[in-house]
Amino acid sequence: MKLIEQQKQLADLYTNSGVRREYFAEQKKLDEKEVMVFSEGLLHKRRNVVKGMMPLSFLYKRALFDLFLTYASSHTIRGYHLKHQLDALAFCNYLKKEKAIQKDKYFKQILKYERFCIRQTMPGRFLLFFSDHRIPSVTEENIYQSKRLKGRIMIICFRLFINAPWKRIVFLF
Amino acid sequence: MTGTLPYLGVGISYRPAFGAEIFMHKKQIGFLEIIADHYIDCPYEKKEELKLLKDHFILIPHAINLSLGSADGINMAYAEKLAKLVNELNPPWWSEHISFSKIGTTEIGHLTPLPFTNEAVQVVSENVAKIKRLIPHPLILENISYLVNIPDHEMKEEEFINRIVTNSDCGLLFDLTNLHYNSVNNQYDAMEFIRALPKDRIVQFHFTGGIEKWDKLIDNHSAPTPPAVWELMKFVKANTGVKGAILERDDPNPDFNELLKDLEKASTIML
Repeated sequence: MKLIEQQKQLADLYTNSGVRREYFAEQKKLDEKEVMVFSEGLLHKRRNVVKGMMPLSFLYKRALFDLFLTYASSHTIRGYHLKHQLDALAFCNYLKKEKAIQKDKYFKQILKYERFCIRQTMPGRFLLFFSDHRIPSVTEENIYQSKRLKGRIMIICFRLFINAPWKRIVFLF
Repeated sequence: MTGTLPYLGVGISYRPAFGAEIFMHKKQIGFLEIIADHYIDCPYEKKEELKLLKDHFILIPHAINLSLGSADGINMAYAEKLAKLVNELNPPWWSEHISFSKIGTTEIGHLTPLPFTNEAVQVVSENVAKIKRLIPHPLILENISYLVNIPDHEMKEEEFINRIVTNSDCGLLFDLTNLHYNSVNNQYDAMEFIRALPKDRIVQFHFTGGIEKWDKLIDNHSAPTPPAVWELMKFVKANTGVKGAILERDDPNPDFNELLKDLEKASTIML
């Protein structure tokens, strides 16, 4: 087999559980345990990185991160050095569509805020905008009291050139 | 290969979690390795961090996303960004891995092993030639740890590495922990492996410790360096002109005193 075909097959095996099932049902050229262990490791690594980029969501609904495995089975990563940010943004979008989350307005607000924060770490934008209800500080102690603060917050982030620091204007009303 | 390069001593792979500790212990840290990808298309604060590090340390960029083993070539847009960073830093050398991490539109998200074949040697050499046209600084290539054994090898791993670094005229970033873990997981003799490597091309070491999981040793950079790795370091140092050694630790909240102990041990060997 040519290297390019071999690499395509290996990449699919490492990243796609359906392909793994089909492959090991038919042949045993590769060691199934070795591939499973490696693929599991990849998923855990991905999950941990995304978890680190979504600290509020993780504190608020830790259990939802179990959905990461389902999400990852249908979303492969791409984007070289920006792959983790893109993965986190895609996971936010995935969570937003989950039925259990659609009813929880506070969590939707957290997801929106975390998307806003992740985008600030990425290139290519000069203007970012966030507007919602004011967000209570999220700590281990108060996280389950999803009370909203009175009033709204609006954050405008802008920069004049690509490597410039973000300037932030915050309005509370 | 190693003759013209400067001796840098013992250093550490920089992580923001180290905070001010690296500045407080500057005397024990000969140089820093930085993950190049963290400073490509990065926020302003990371650029400032890089400037600060560059003002105080010699920096060696360590790239992780070139995928030099990809049979469909390297991504030139990414390579140009990497080249801009490396050329700006003007390091004595820079490093990447002997592995592939993407093919077509699929990114695996980790360094994965190549089959030890003539075609793979050819592919890596061609990709290295492309990147060398963009980055004139000496490139050293790292041996990776792997959990999956790819069948259909045409040669042993040590010969594979030997041929790649010789064909592409690169140095070797010799990860001693990767070798130790691979040798235990796959039951081969690490010393025999070392004897077959091109000694004049070993430029730098990586060393660290990992965990045991699923009956395998896993190099997750989370523990003190194990005794077997120190033994390998002593042996290779005594027989080569290696120029530097980098400790890699990725714990979220590292105990810096533990890291200092490893740096101290390495310093006594590297003297």
